[in-house]
This record gives sequence, structure tokens and C-alpha cells, in this order.
Amino acid sequence: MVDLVIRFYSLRVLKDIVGHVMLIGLPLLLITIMIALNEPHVPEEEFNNLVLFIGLAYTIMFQGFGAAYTSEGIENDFFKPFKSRLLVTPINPMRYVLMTLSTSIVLSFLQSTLLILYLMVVYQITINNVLGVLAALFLGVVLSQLLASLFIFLTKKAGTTQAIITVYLIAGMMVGGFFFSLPTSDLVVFLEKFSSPLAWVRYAAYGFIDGDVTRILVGMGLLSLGIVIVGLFSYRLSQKVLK
Amino acid sequence: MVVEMKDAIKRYNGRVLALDYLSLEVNRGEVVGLLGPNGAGKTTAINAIVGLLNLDEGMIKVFGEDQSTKNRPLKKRIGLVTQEVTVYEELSAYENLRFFGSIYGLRGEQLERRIHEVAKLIGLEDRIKDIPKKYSGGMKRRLNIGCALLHEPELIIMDEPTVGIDPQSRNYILEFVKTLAKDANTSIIYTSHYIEEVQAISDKVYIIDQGHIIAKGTVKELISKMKGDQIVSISVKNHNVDSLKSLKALPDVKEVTFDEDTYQIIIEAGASILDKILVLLTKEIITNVNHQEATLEDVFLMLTGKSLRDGGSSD
Repeated sequence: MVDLVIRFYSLRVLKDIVGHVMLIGLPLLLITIMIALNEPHVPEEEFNNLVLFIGLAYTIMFQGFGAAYTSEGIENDFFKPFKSRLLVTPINPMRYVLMTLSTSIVLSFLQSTLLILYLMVVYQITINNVLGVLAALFLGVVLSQLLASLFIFLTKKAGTTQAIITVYLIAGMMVGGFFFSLPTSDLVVFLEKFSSPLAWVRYAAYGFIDGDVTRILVGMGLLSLGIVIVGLFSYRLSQKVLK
Repeated sequence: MVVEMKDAIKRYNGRVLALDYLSLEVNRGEVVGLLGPNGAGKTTAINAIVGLLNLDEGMIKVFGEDQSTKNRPLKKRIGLVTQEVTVYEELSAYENLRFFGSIYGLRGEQLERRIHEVAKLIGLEDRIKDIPKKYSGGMKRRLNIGCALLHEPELIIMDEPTVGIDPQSRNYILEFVKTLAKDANTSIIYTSHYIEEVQAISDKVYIIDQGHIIAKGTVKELISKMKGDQIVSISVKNHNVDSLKSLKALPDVKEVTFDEDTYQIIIEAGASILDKILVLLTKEIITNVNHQEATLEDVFLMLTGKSLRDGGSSD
């Protein structure tokens, strides 16, 4: 039963060409454009950092959009007439949601990995402790997907969930200094590091890159704590919806 | 007995009474028609039968077992054809059938065999590799039915399976339902806003209103309730709203409705009031007058005072 849901959900996702273009093609294009625009303005020795900064920002941002995409799948299966059709089958609905989320996590993580590989292969940059960076990105994917599931179970509408996620991504990235440099003050520095789960992912990823154990522990710790809390809320809400 | 529901009570939000001591029975190989206006309790009754909700009071047994949302094994013996088409648009018909077959535990050769049997049964074997987006409304409806048949359920609930399709596909589905009940001894609960469909295929009909059964029996038995009553249809061009009230006030008139451009008037047996009716309608241009035999629709109208098709598509 487990592999059945994974198999068919993957099949549905893989057949969605527009989805692939939006979630893989678009970040690749944006990363390429942003690097090309900024490259002339940074010294050669800073190129590695530039690519890393832009690449990580868009990778983290599109994890959020990937999660918004998942909310559509959950809406289709559990908030539209499909709900009755699935709930009259012998399948355990809770397991169905978990398998859908797990599949989305794996697919979204593959997307993040692909973007990191693109940076390394095309721009020939070196990323210290790349496996650690991927681990931070993995926790970021899990938290994003759980947040999306929380919002969809709360609002019962994928459109509303996507709007919330879009606002969250834009606000989170602006406050986190993903788009442009912010004035240096204690508050701004604090917000850049801890204002949202997006900032936590970057904080942990740079902890791995810089070999800073404290940052790794704090960043990964915050992400893990977020996963547990959001996961519990999402679980409780899903039980209400699926009963 | 396949379904036995007795004195079922279901309240929503603790107040709205959706089922009010509703009792019904379905036997093996029987096609049971469920009729009722909007909000009558049809969908609630269906949801209780398939185990999508629990009753507040009363009893429901399916195949002799207590039905509830927790009775997962029982679900393997039931198929639900939903009112809306619930197939995955991005997957082919084959993949949809495979998915729903797999959910019910079919595997390997057995699954392949059933997919091809069902595809043939629903007349989609030549288009099985196509995605539903390329299908007509009728083909999608047939695939929707097919997805509920993979696991060879002994009880199938069809909730408005012919909404929005062409007459050819509708006839195909009706013939198919009759064959399924006759050849496979499958029990079928069928709801529709098209009373003539229910009349054509049902062995037994329940008419539900306000959460309880107001009439039950074979189509013949129900129509016999109208024995002697006269049904007059009068088509008009310029409908006058006041005429409906005046007609209802006439002695010997049991029920009057106005649908599109036609009055449907049920008159007591033996009464001779056609002249009075025509006098009342002098302000309207009469295009047709028809005296007809009672149908199930007339029974429904008499019992509920409502025209089923005007009532919308769900309750």
C-alpha cells in the first residue's frame, strides 16, 4: 500500500510538465540571469560567494513554491469530491497523506539538489561540506512541506494556501536579506539569521560552509524544532479533516 | 440482506436533522432507487451506508456487519460512483483503473485482467491509454463508474451517475446498471434527478423527504397510489404568477407545479374541473393541453409537493 501511493503520486507529479518548468526551469533561469547581472560588479575572488548567495537564495525560495504545489495535490485528494472516493476505499487516509508528503519531500529535495549541482557544474564553484549544506536544505524542504500541509488543512483551499506561502516567501526573504543588503544593526542582523525558517536554512547551510559548529547546531536545531512543532499541529489538523 | 438501516438519526452541528428515523433495506441483486428533493437526506443516507459518517442513533448493517467509519474491511465490498467525476485527469484511463484496483488490493495478473474486463464493460477498451482530458463527458462518466468496479463490489452506490451527459451515454449506463444487477447479482443503490431513469431501472424505490421515507415500493406499487388521479399538463406562453395560486385553490386539485412553460396539475379521481382550470388561465395563451397517465414523477410531486429536477443536484 505504501509504495502504491508513492508510485501513483510520483506518476501524477512527473506528468505535470508545467509544474516541472515552474519548479526547476524557472529557478535555473532566475539563478542564471541574476548571476549574469551581478557578475560584472563583483571582484573575481568574490564570484564563488556571489554564485553561492544567489543559488542558495533561489533554492530555498523554490522549496517554498514546491510546498505550495503539494498543497494542490492534498486539496485535490482531500478537499474536493475525491475525498469521498478515497475515504470509501480501504486505504488509511492518514497514511495516504503521509506518503504524499514523503513523496513531495523527496521530489522537492531532488529539485534542491539539482540546483546545487547546477551551481557546482556550470559555475565551477566549490562548496565546503556540500553534504552538510544538502542536509540543511533537506530539513528546509521537510519544514516547508509541513507548513504547506498545515496551511491547507487550516484553510482547506490550495489557492489560499499558495497566497499565504507566496506572502511568507516574499516577506521572509526580504527581511532575511535574501534579495538585497540590509542596513547593519543588531536587530537587522538578528532578523537575517532567525526571522523565518527560510533564514534558518541559510544560517545552517552557511554554518556547514564555514565550518561553524555553533551555527550548524543552532540552525539545524531550529529547523528540527520547527519540524516537530509544525508536524504536530499539522497531524492534529489532518486528523480532524480526515475523520 | 445487503443493507439494513433502521431508525437512523443523524444531526449536523447537533441541530440540523438530516436523517429522521430513516429505515431502508437493500437485498442482493436489487436495484434500489433513492429519490428526494434537495436536503432530503439522500447523501447523508448514502454516506452512512458507505461508512463515511457515523449515525447519532439507530442501526445500520451492511452485509450483516455494523457499518461505521472505522470498518475498513467492509469497504472492500462496496463501490461508490461519485456524483462528480473523480478520476485523475493527468493519468490515463489505464493508470486510473490501475490505481483504484491497487487501492483495493488487486495485484499482478488479477489486476490486469480486471482492468481489461472493466475497460470492455464501460466501452473504453480502445481508448484506455488516453488521458481523461481527451474524453467526452459521457466517456469520463463511464471511467468514473469503471473505477468503482475494479474490485468487483457486491454493493455499488451510484450518486447521480448520469449528470450532464448525452442521451446515448445515459442509455449505455442504464443498460449497464441493469446488466450488472442481473448478471453479477450486484446490489445497486441509484440516485438521480431524472425520475424516468429511476423508474426504468429500479426494482424498488424509496422516496425521502426531510430525513425520512415518505413512500417505498416497486414503481408499480408507487404509481398505484395515484390510481384514478388525473394528471393534466397545460403549456402556456405568457405565464401569470397569480394563476398558480388560483389553481391550487380550486377544489379537487391535489397538486400544481409550473416547470418552464407547463403547468402540471393533479386532480382527484372523478372530478371534472378542466373547464374551471381553463377559465382561470384565460389571461395566458394556451399552446397545449395534455391528459396523461401517472408516472413516478407524479407520485413524487404528489408526496413532496416539489419537482425533483428543479431541486438542484445534491442535498
